[in-house]
Amino acid sequence: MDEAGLPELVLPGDYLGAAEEYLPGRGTYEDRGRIYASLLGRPAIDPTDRTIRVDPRNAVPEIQEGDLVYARVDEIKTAMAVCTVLTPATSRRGVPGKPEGTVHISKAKEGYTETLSGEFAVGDILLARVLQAHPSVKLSTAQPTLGVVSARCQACHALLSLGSKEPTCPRCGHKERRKLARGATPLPPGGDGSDDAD
Amino acid sequence: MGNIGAKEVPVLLSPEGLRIDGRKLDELRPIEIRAGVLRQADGSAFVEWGQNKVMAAVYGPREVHPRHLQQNNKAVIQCRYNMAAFSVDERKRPGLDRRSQEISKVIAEAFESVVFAEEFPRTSIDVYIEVLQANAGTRCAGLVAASVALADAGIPMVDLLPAVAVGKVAGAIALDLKKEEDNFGEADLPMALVPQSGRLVLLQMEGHMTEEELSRSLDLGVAGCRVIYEKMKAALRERYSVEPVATEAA
Repeated sequence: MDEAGLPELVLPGDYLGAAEEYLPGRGTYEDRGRIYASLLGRPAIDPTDRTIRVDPRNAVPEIQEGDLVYARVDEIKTAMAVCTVLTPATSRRGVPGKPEGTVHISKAKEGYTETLSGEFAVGDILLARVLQAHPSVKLSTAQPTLGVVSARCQACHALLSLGSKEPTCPRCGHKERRKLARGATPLPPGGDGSDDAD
Repeated sequence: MGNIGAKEVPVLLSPEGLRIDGRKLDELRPIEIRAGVLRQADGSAFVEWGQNKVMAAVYGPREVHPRHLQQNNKAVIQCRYNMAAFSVDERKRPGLDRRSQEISKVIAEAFESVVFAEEFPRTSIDVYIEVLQANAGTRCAGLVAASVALADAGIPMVDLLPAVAVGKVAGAIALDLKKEEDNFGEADLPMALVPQSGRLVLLQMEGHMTEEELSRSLDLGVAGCRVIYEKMKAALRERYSVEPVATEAA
C-alpha cells in the first residue's frame, strides 16, 4: 500500500498496516504487530524510512521551531525576558503545559538594545517567533511585525493604545516605551492579558 | 414514575416477543450523533439516543485544577457527568450526588485505559457530560458522546469507546433498555467496548442474572457496541466531511 492507497481520513482505532511493513510514527501506535491510528486525521507515509503517520485534523497545539506564538511576559531580567507561551498564532487552543520561553536581549529588536525594560513590561502579550523549541523555548521579536501586541499602563493598568509610535494610556495619559509589533495581528481570545484562559 | 403510589407494572414483552416500544430483543433505539457542536470547547459531541439527549465537551490538555491532582508522568482525565434538573420527569435536585459521582468515576476510568495520557504530562483532560434528557442508559450515551468529543479534540487514543446496556426484562435478555424496562426489569448491565482489542473497559451490573444469561448478555452487548461504533465513526467523518472509506477491518 503506498500513499495513493491510503484513505483520506482515519479515526482512532483504524488499522493502518502491519508492523513488518511500516514504522509507527506520530498519531499511530503498534499493538501485536499491527499499526493503528491514534488520532483523527490524514495518514501519510514517509518514503525515506517507511514511517506511517497521521497528520491530525484538530491537533493539540505544540510549539516547533519557526512557529509564530503568543507569549505573556512574566519577568524581566537584565539579559532576557521570561515568558509563558500561550498559544500558536494560528490556533485558539493553549499549548499544554504552558511552557516557559525566553527572549534574549539580543533578540528583542533589530539593532542594539540598551535595556529590556525599555522594550517589554511584565504582563505584555508578545507575538514572537520560536528560535528553538527544545530543550528550552527561545523566542525572538527581532522583526518589524513581531513584538508587543497588548500591554497595560504601568501607572493605572488600563489597556494601552498601541497605534502610535509611543504607546499612550487612554485613561491617565501616561507615555511608555515598547517594542511594538507592526501590522495587523489578530489577538487570540483572552490574549489581552486580562485572564489566564487557555 | 409520575406518582409514587402507582405499582402497575407495564407489559414489557408482548406475546410476539416485541418490547414496550415495539423493538425486538436485539434491537437498539435510534441513535443520532453529531460531532463538533460547541464552538468554545476543544472537542464536543451531541448524542440523541432514543429519548436520551446528551452533550459532551472536552477541554485540554490544559492546566490541572486542583493542582495536587497533577501527575508528573501523564495527563489526568477528569470527568464530570451531570444530569440537568429538567432531564427527568420529577425535577432532579441539581448538582453532584452519589450516583453522578460514581458515573463520573467509572467513565473517567474507562477513558484512562484508552487515552495515551503519557503524551501530555502535568496536564488535565477535562470531560464534561451534560444529560439534558434522560431515559435510561445515560451513562452509555454520555460515554459515547464523550468519546466522540475526545476524538474531535484531537486527543490520541487506542480507539473510540462505544457503550451500551443490556438487561433482563420479563425473563428475556434485551439490548439497550429504555426507562420502563430499566425500572421494572430484572437486571441492567452497562458496558463499554474497545473495538480494536475486544476488551471491555466499563462493566457494571444491577439485578440478577444466571451465568448463562450473563454470557449471552455480554455477546449481545458487544454486538450492539459494534453497531454504535460505526455510528460514532460516521459522525466524525461527517464532521470532517469525508465520505466513508473502507478501511481494512481489524
